[in-house]
Amino acid sequence: MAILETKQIRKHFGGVTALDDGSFSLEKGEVHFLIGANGSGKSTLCKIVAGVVGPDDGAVFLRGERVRFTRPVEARRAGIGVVYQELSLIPQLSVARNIMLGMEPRTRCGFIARARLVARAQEMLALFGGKRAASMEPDTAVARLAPGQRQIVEILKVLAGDPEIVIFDEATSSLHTEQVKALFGLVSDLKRQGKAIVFISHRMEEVFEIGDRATVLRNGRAVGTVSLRETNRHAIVRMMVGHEIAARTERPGHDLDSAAVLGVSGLCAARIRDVSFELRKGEILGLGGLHGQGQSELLLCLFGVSPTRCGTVTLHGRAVRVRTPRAAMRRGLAYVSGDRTQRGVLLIRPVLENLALCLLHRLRRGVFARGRLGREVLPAADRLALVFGGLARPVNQLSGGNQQKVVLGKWLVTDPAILFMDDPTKGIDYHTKEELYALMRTMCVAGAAVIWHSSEDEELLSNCDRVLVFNGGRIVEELRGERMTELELYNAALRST
Amino acid sequence: MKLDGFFRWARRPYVVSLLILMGLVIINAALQRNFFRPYILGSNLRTFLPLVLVGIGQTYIILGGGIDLSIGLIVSLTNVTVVQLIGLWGPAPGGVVLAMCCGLAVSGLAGLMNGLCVARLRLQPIITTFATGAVWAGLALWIMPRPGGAVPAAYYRVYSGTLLWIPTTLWVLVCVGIVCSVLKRTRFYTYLLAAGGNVTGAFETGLPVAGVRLGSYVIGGLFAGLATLCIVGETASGDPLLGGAYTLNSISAVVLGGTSLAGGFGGVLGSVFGALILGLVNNVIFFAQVPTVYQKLLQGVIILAALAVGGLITRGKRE
Amino acid sequence: MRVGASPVVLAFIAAAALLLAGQLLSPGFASGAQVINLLVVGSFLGIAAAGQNLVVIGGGGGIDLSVGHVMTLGAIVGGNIVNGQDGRTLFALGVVLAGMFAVGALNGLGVTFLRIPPLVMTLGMSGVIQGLILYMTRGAKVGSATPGMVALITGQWLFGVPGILFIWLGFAVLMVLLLRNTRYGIDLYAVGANETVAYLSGTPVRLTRVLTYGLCGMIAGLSGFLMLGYTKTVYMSLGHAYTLPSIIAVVIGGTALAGGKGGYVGTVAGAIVLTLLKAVLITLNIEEFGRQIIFGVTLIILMLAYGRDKKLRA
Repeated sequence: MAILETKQIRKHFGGVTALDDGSFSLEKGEVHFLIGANGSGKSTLCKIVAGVVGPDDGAVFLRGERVRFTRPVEARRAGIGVVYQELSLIPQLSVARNIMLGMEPRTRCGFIARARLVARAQEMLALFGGKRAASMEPDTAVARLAPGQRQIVEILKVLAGDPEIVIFDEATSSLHTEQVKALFGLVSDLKRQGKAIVFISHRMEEVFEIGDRATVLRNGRAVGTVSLRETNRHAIVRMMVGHEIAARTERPGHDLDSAAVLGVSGLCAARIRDVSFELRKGEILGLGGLHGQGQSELLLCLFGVSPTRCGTVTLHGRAVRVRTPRAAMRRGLAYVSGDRTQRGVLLIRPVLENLALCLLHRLRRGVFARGRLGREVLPAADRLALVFGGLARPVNQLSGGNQQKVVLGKWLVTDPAILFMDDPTKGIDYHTKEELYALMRTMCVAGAAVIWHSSEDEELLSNCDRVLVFNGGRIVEELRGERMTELELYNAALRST
Repeated sequence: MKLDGFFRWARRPYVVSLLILMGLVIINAALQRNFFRPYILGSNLRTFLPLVLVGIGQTYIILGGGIDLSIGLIVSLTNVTVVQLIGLWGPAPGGVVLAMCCGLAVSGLAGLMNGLCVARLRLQPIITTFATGAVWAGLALWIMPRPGGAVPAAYYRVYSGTLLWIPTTLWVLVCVGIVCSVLKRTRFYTYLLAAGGNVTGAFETGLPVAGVRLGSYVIGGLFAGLATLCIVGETASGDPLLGGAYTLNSISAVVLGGTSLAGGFGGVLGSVFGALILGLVNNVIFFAQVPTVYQKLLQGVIILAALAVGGLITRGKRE
Repeated sequence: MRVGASPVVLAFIAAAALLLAGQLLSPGFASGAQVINLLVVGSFLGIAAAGQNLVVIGGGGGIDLSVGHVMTLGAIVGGNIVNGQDGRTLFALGVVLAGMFAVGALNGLGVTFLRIPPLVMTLGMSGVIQGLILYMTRGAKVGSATPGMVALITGQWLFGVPGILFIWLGFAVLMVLLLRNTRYGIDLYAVGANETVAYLSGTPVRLTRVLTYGLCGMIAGLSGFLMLGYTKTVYMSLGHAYTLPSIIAVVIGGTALAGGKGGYVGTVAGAIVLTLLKAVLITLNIEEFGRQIIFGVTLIILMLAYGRDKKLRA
């Protein structure tokens, strides 16, 4: 009997369908992978099992009985442990205390038995086997550990609760090879003990190394479960892509010989390594690959938000160092964030102030009439077909699509030469998306250039002239012309670095 | 390896304050010839002890991610309460002790009120404790509109005297030290650090975040009350306006001691050193014969500098 | 906010209610002369609260606990320079404005560059200012207002209304203009509403913050200087009692403590409400300690209505 089973889970967030048919089953003593492209629903499915969100429809069965978790603690008590990428560790506490947090062994008087605490932590650390992989002193503060080590502590913390089902949600991304090996050794031990393990990962080599079965999700639906011994990578990628090849809108041909406006060579920073490419005038360059592989980081580095460690950037042939957003703006760069509530708009301020924000420091005088300011920004609002009910309205009263238009609008007003778009169409309705695509094309025809990161592969492939595929912080492939297909994209995105 | 162990110790939050303290002791001893004589040491300890205690109380609150701007005013309130009650029930020792217990109860209650507002009602700590501070100040003025009251001689003689050849103040310090060490080994303390260090993580782990923060405010109040009992032993009277300076000084002591104002990092020992540093600085200012008109100004500038330096240090350590 | 109507409207309603209560308790409370008197008393709070308003709008936990002491310092410096002689008034004003701006800017530098939390920085600065005041006055009253100042402030200009109220009106207009029609104003709201977005849009975040604290100091100094024309001589606790009320006035007026919203009109209403509250309490014969308690409780109730932190559970 399956220890865990989800049947036809459906979940909507606002206007977006995250899951349409989330179904899979998990057996005791197996390692089950959930695989899918961006937005396929695998993370949402895990959140529902873990009790973080509730499903709109469908059911979760644990050991044959139907369960409904309203809080993560309930799922934990039922024996489901989840290791996330965002850690729940307390930085200033020691490794041992973090591992045993909430489960400290106590003396008769109720105090924490330190010796036993450290001993238990040592036992857990030993589970990782081998000195190098988990070479941590139990007394070290977590704040002093490298990201990979912190992830290991988080894993041990979850395991210390002795869960029957362990879910790893992209938990191997910060581990280096030795640590991953040690983790797999641990996972094999857990299998032998009869525990059930779910992995969300896009690293194919991991899938085939320790996986027993895999369920592939596409667009919120489970398209199939396969036994990993009887299949290969290409078959899985085919399942991810599906058999329909979407018709793509024709783009006006782009003159590939136009001058390079931006050149990047050997750029490296906290999460990107050795990135080199050129951006030409009038071009839309796409950044693809799975989410979080360095695309956003690249844009932030180019816009002067994140520091770079090495490499050069040239604008119109001249080497530059862009250290702050203001410097970037002065050079005609613009950064449109998709995370509009945190990085795009001032939610509680009126539309007028949002639209005029980037323009303010170009005005000759520091004092102005609000009416005049309004006249400066209205043309941009018109171009965007912004529906906003008055310039004085606070932005949080606008729909998501219109909020994103405001973000774009404030940059349009500055007449930028190069736009960095960081996943700008997340959670926006179809109609508004089409409007934005058309606007992008118009701007490029007029001489601007765009670098566009999108987690929607279809959108990327339809609108860009070229796509750079990212994996692990590097560019692993450049797609253009006939090779711009989803198949090629996934193959590159899932390739081991 | 021995060297490794040393480096590990050197990273403890209180190390910088310990070094500064040692430096100040040397300067102080240079300016005041009989600094190390037992009489002078005892006198200094009696003067510094109240701030040490208030600093300890504030530390627990700050560790949990909060702050208490009313702690000095809790001292005022407890001060007048104890003195008035002693006037009512004294001078019999039983009455005096009962008055002291009531004082502690009042301070604990004030801390509880603060904790309820901040931890349970989720009001912002700074403004809220600023507001409750006004309430405590008002109550103190109501209980005793003008300084006065008389405390039986026995009280301050006990405070400045010795028990079993050891000064009372030293006994207090030792007992407090034991209490703090014991507290450090409780789950409460670990969960308090968790609540201050990563409140979402602590909550997701299922820790009773609101509960431990509430507890920290009560503890802070109780330590303020204990400090007041010492103050009464020193001044032998009540003064509704006395406690005001203790708030800023306690925060300075905590910052000097290496505890981060954001919570989750630091410890009580550092605050003790910080409070002693502040006390010795005052001594130095006095013995360097700085003219009276400059004294408060100099103290203020030094405290501000301490806050600046302390802030820079903890920023460096946490990153 | 959980309260339905606009805070500014609520504040004016509260003011009206307090006026009515005062009239019922003590006939003549709401007479023309009395109302003018109350407004005069409230004007100094109203002006000082403008600075606090700016700091709070700027967000980031922005608050200035040194407002009261800067007021006193402004009055002392001003009083010392003029020392009863008309000729030096403008010069004194200039020195006060520049000096108190510098003090505020120091607060701003500590908050922005040394990352000291505003609470702690301004609290520490208030200690320094107290020391400075002690030093300058040596404990005794020094300096006094000029006849010209007194005439300006308390003398009647038009319709029997004293000069200070016109000054306050002009000041209010300037404040509203500053917040709504200048680059600085929009920058300030942006920084308070979402510092990251402001930074990503090219707003000079740090400069705006330092400038704001500087302005707060300058305005507090101005208020103290003007108050000198009212009290005629300086004494040391002149401004001390204005810090907490300045915060309350700002909150009553609808400025969120988290920053990013709220304007000066609301703060004016808040200052008037507080002044009326104090007057009503005096009429009820409630002494100073009672008034303190009531102010503290009022602030807590306001916080309950306007400013609770989010729940940890999503």
